[in-house]
Amino acid sequence: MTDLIKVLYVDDEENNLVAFRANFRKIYDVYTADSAKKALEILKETHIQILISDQRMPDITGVEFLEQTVELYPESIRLLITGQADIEVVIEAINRGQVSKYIQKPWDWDKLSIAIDYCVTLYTSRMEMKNKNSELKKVNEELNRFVYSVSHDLRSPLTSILGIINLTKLIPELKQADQYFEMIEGRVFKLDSLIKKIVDYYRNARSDEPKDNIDFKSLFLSVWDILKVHNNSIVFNLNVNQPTNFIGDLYRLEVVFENLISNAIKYQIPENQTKVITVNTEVVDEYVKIIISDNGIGIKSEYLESIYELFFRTENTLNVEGSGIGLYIVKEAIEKMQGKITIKSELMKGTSFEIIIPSKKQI
Amino acid sequence: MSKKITVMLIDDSKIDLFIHNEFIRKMNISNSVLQFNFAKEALEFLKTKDSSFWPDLILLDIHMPIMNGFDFLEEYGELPLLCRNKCKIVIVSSSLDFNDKLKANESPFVLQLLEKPLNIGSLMKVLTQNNVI
Repeated sequence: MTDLIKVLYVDDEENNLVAFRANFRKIYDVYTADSAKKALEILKETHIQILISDQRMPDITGVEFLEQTVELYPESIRLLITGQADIEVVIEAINRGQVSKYIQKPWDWDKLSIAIDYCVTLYTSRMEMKNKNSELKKVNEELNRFVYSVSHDLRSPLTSILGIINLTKLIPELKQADQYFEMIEGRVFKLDSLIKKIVDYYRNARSDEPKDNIDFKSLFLSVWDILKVHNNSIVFNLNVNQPTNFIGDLYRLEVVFENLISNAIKYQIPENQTKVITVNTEVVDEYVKIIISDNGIGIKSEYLESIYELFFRTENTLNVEGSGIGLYIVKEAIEKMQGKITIKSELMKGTSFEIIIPSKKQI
Repeated sequence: MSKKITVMLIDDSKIDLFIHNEFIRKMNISNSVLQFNFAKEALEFLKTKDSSFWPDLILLDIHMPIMNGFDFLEEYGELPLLCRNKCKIVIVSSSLDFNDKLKANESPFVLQLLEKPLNIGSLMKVLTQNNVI
């Protein structure tokens, strides 16, 4: 059996203490004190779970005493016994003394028994919740570490391979093998982007709400900087009108822009003389409106409703590397930011996404 | 752009050390590249060698055993100001942990975080923008 619950009863009338002890000593580990001072001494040495106090005592009221214990022993459950049926006392007891249960004198044993029982249940369920919460926190942290360290360890060799391929491009004698290196590179990119997407998916599912100060121009430029290596024949038109600051979730915005712009790069029409991606950004106090458009292959109108589904791919994109995760993550991220995304697309003309995201700025 | 700089590479992956060394060679910016498999040894080098050996540029990996990139930065902060002024740090990492990016941006000693694989263009840009070369 587990340890008995420790109950402390404070009352200046010795008779009550004796009777209480006699009645409950088999069920609980009972402590008694005939003054608040002695009770506080006991509390210092013993971890008391249930605290019961009489209201009327010579030097201090029960409420005053219980109030003193709130900060020091926040986990203990408090019960007040009083003779006067005074509503003021009850209000004080609940607000100041954080009393969970209130018993009127003269007490009958059954009522008191039930009241203490209730306090015990309250205590154990609170403790359980606390333990579960800290367990959950720990598991979450471990999962975090696991995800990031596994993804890093999976990526490291891939980035080394890509680094070596980058080196081969600088060596004229290897020109003949370029085509093969490009094939290797393509496959490695595919695997690498899959790992990135899985981490994005994981990270996005979490519910934190960071408040970062967003500079859209530099954000788009840094995203473009990373992505442009995949196709450097594309014209990138960036127009940002940001007269005011914007508070939002930097990570999720980056995920959204990275996915949409990377799609705009991937789904270009190879034969097009000029391949263009245009980003128009308009920031006002309450929100930001972003339009990302391209003159790429477009999407058939019958597929427009399905594009945000996980693993959805259309037949005219099957020859392009993709995982069907990107737009799903985009949609999730935008919803987490309480924003909205709409799409317009025409086959072989191009696609345009309009995004509106509210600013977390205090106005 | 004719000045040649000394570069220190810190990475637990020997292959990445090799790749970065090759890049630096191709960029033709350095005559002297110091390679370290362990951040601890690199730190020891900075502590014990006199100023003529100090590098102008440090390419620092984040995830390394024993002493990781951020531990290195913390101890680097204790080095003499003269040394810190000379050695400019660029972090090169394949980490997907967004906190790593934020931490790197917060560090006063880091010019920028570049993602692996390193490409000559972005490194060149960081170095010219910050007058390292």
